[in-house]
Amino acid sequence: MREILRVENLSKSFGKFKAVDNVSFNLRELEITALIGPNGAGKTTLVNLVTKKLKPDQGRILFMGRDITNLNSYQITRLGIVRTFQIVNLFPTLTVYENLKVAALGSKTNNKEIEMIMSELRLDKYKDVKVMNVSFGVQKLVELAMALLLKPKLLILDEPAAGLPREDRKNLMRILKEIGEKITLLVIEHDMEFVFELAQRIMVMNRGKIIADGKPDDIINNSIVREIYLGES
Amino acid sequence: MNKFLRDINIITILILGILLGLISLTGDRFYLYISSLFMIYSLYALSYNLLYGYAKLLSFGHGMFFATGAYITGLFTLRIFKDPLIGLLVSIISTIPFALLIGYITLRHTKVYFAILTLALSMFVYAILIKWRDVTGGSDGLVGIPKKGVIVDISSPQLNYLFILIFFVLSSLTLYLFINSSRGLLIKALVNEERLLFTGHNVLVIRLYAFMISGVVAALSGSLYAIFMSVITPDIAYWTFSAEPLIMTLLGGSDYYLGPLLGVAIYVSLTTALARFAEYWMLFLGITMIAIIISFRGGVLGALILIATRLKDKRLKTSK
Amino acid sequence: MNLEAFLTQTLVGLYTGSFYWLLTLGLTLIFGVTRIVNFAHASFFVLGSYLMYTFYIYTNNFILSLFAATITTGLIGVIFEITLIRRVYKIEEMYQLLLTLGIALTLNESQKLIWGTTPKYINMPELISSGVAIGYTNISYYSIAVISISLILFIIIHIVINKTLWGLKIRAVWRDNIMAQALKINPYLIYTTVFFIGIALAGFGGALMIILHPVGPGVGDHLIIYAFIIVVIASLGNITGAYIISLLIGVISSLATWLAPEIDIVIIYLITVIILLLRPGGLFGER
Repeated sequence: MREILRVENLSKSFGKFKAVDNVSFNLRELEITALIGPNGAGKTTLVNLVTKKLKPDQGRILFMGRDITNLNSYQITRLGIVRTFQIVNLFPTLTVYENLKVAALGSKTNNKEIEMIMSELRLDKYKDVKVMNVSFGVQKLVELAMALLLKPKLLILDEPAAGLPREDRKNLMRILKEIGEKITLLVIEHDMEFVFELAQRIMVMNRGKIIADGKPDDIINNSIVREIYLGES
Repeated sequence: MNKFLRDINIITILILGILLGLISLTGDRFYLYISSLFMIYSLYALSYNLLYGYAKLLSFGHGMFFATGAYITGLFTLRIFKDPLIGLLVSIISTIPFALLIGYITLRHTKVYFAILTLALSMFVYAILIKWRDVTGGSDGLVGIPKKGVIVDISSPQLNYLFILIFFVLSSLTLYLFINSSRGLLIKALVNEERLLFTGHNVLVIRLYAFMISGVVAALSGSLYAIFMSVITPDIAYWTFSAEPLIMTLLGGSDYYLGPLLGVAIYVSLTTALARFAEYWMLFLGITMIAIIISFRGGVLGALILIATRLKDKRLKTSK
Repeated sequence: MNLEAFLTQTLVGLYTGSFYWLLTLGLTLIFGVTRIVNFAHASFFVLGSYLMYTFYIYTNNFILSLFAATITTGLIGVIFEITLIRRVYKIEEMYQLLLTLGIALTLNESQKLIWGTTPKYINMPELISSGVAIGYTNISYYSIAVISISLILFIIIHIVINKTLWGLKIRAVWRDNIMAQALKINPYLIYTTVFFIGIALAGFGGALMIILHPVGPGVGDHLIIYAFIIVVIASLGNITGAYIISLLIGVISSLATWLAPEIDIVIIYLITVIILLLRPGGLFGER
């Protein structure tokens, strides 16, 4: 499998606090990777660095062979790296359709595709409802739909299952598995069940470093990981 | 097409246009005067709300576009080519690069600095207008801006009125169609700047676009003002004049496209019709502004719509 | 160019700048602690002038009126803070600015209704006439006093903020509200106190100003612009910067009006625009 994202020696500090400490890894095309770790491990910061919400203190990022370290957020989105947010962050005063349309305008996608995604994710009946007035679960789907409309090559999802009731989680799992067959996924998640069912590869972060990286079975048995999560020694 | 014909804003503008047109038939000078002011200030306030209500940009210097629009029209028709229509067109066209320039230097700043920078820039324009006597007439301003030109002759009050009316209806419709287009949607999306960036859009360019269009419409209203009043002085560039469309927009309601029109209507009718109480009105305006910020930001239009919706819900409940 | 005239104009500039400082000190204190840009600040300054006028008419006592005007203005400011400004501490800056703009408008119009539209002034020839002679011109003791008072105020504020326990509390809230709460400092008490001090200072400045200069509608509008220009050039929140730039703007204004009256205000605004473009955060950076 080809390499789609390469991160080299990425670091970011906030004052004396090293949020991301000399991190390097590759993501392989069409592989579903999960990024896990305790709170404050640096997962979201790492994602923010890759998606240029933050500037790295040092390091390089290459996407499909191209150095994107100095590009900004909207540029890398156009290149094909799309992310979602932990806290729902849409256009509250616009309708569901309008939210999707903004995304479609970003990737120059036509209206037919918007209709298609809306029916696939069963958002049709919310078409003209303002996003701030729909339920949390629907908002998450809208965000996912927007991400897809941006034609991502690499889709980074920051805690997509957080706050979702059981029903919606199962639904989300199904959708993500389908998406994962055509798009490379990087998922930050806390729900272990979710992670182990979805991921083909797991990276574990702690205190700004990646401390483990491999197949789910290997990670479960990794003693360092167990120590962090279960406090075993 | 059908959807547009049934759009309430478009219907309102057209009905308003017809009503205003009927007023011109009466020939009553007072009503012509007050309605002309209404139309001119409405365009000014609409241009302001594009920045404030839609693009979420608080500018304290919007008067600079109104003033330069007015002065360019005045200067052009007085010194270069005597025709109000041409003067107006020249003014609008020259505002495009001017607005882009101002936008380019101000929009990259954060909100508070943007507000203060626009304030400083408009005061800079004011300073030039008031000091450059030879060109701008200084504090006396420009006098005798012609209504009778080579191409159009709008010397009669009714023709002048019609001139303003046509621009008013066309501009408010065009601006509305624009805000409902794809580009307009991107401007509306400025409500969440971060998300917009992550949706692959260059926020600065979108803001610049909104700023430019807003500036051009303001310049248009300034030009109409210059022709209508035939006398203009530098105080239209003073920051307190920039605050007026802001107050009118807040008063009427910035959440709806036509909200500012309601604010202008209230403002104009009260300050001219009840000019005796003008001092009290300004005080009332200040207090209203405070009240709106503290409690209900929807303005008068927002309040009316809220009441209407509640009444509708009540009726639905009782009919069951 | 005449050296004596130059010195005189510079002194006049320092004198004017001292008034700007009395205006911007309060503005900076309030911003530093509450993060609010008080559009109404100059309106309070002018309120101080009007109150001074009224108190003086009734008491004919300079010191008493000065004291009363200052305190009253401060108290009125506190009333606004408690009833209105408190409600907007946690919302977007845009609305905070609009609220203070509304307050400015309300204050300005109320002043017009209460005191009328003709400019008011206090006639105190004894204060103005006595002074020091420099060559052919007379520098009044009063202007020297104003300049000295500003300098003293600057030093006092500096000491209080940097060397006292109370100043420490203010600095704590300045930097980090949440941290301050953790340290059991009540931020709302600090906010109100700082508001009082800031507005009272403005009132004090206004009261001093009406001795030599008539005050009427429009004065506040002009002053607030200069106040904003000064604090953004100095960097919002920087007290030392505000002092230096206040004096500088006063001096530059004065020299410009003397040497190039056709373009004096153009120069000031042009300088402002250029500085803001090159150094958007201001010249000093926040302290």
